[in-house]
Amino acid sequence: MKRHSAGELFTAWVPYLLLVVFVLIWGEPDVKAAINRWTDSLFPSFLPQQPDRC
Amino acid sequence: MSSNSWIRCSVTALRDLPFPPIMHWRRGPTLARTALMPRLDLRLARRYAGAPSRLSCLPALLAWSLSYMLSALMTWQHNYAPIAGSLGLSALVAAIPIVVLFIMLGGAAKAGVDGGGIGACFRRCSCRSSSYGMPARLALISTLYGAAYGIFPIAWIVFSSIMLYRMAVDTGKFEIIKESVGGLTSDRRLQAMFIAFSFGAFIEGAAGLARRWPSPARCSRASDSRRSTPPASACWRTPRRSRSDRSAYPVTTLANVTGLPVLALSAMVGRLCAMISIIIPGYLIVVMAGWKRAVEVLPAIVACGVSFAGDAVLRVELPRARADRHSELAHVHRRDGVRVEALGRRRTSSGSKATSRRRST
Repeated sequence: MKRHSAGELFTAWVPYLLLVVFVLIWGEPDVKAAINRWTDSLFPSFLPQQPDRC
Repeated sequence: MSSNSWIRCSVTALRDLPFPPIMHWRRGPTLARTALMPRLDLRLARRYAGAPSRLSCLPALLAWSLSYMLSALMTWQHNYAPIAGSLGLSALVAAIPIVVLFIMLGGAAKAGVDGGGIGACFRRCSCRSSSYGMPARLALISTLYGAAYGIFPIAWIVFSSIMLYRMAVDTGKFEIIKESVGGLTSDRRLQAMFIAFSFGAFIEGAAGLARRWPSPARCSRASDSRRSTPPASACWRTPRRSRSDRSAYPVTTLANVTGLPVLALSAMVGRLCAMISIIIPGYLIVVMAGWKRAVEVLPAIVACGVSFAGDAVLRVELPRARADRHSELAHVHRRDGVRVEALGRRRTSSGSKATSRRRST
């Protein structure tokens, strides 16, 4: 089993760490509501929207 | 022929015919279809009562237009046992799209999108229309809704997970991840538990909330440090783990379908999963290495099962206990508020009595 340096290990795990960070940020209700507001504004007005979606 | 007799004639003729418009009328046609109905009625009326002029048919046509417009507002009632009134037979018919999906995916070895997906969608739409008597428009809309519900929350996350995995593989970083995980222990049984209950959980959590298992299974298979591990042995680790924990989409779907509160459903699913989760690590190692070899790592199995089940129980029970505490506090506040209010009234009334007594003296 080849040994790797701490820097190599950190670099290899960075995508998953970033995923965790983004998922946690996205899970915040305020951030989620802001993203929902933004994406809802992109849809045409005739499409039904969910105002209580959070 | 008078208008009344025309109406009677056309109604009788159309009622006695096993004609699609009548079936649709009984099930509630769409508003778009109602626009075509008067012309059809005129044709049928002519067939059954000679060849009158269009003007004499006008009252009948108006009556039929009105009836179709009203029937368009009717709600289609879902019959859960349309096949001979038998729930079992109806369930078998309802399972046809799933069987088609499995056959197309497994038996016919078709790709997921062009084979199974389209075949199952087509079969689902036709099954709903033919067997359940669902109007074609509603069947089409519900099929599109189901496809969109599958594509956006689930397939999109699975796509992202696979992309993340492929990126790590193509850049060579996944070998480092694999070796870092495999370097923790050389015991395959412990590696299996570690991958299934830690790395697999992480991957499947990011890969579609464990609804679809191929992507986490594939990633976990790749993360296995030994190439000699059979694919099936590695692949079933994550589904076992996933069935017992992350079931957010099935729960929310069940709540949407049944109208039951999602928190209560989640709590019940969490309790059930906690009971199963205790035995899952042991089952995993027994299937993988046998009873004798599983007993050798019993402490690790117990630690894994208890920590996982305990986590599930705490996640369920703590919010519930907090909610109960909140409601209890609210009850105490209400009760004390009533008491304080009553005490205040009493004091006020006694104070006013004393004041009046003082005034009288």
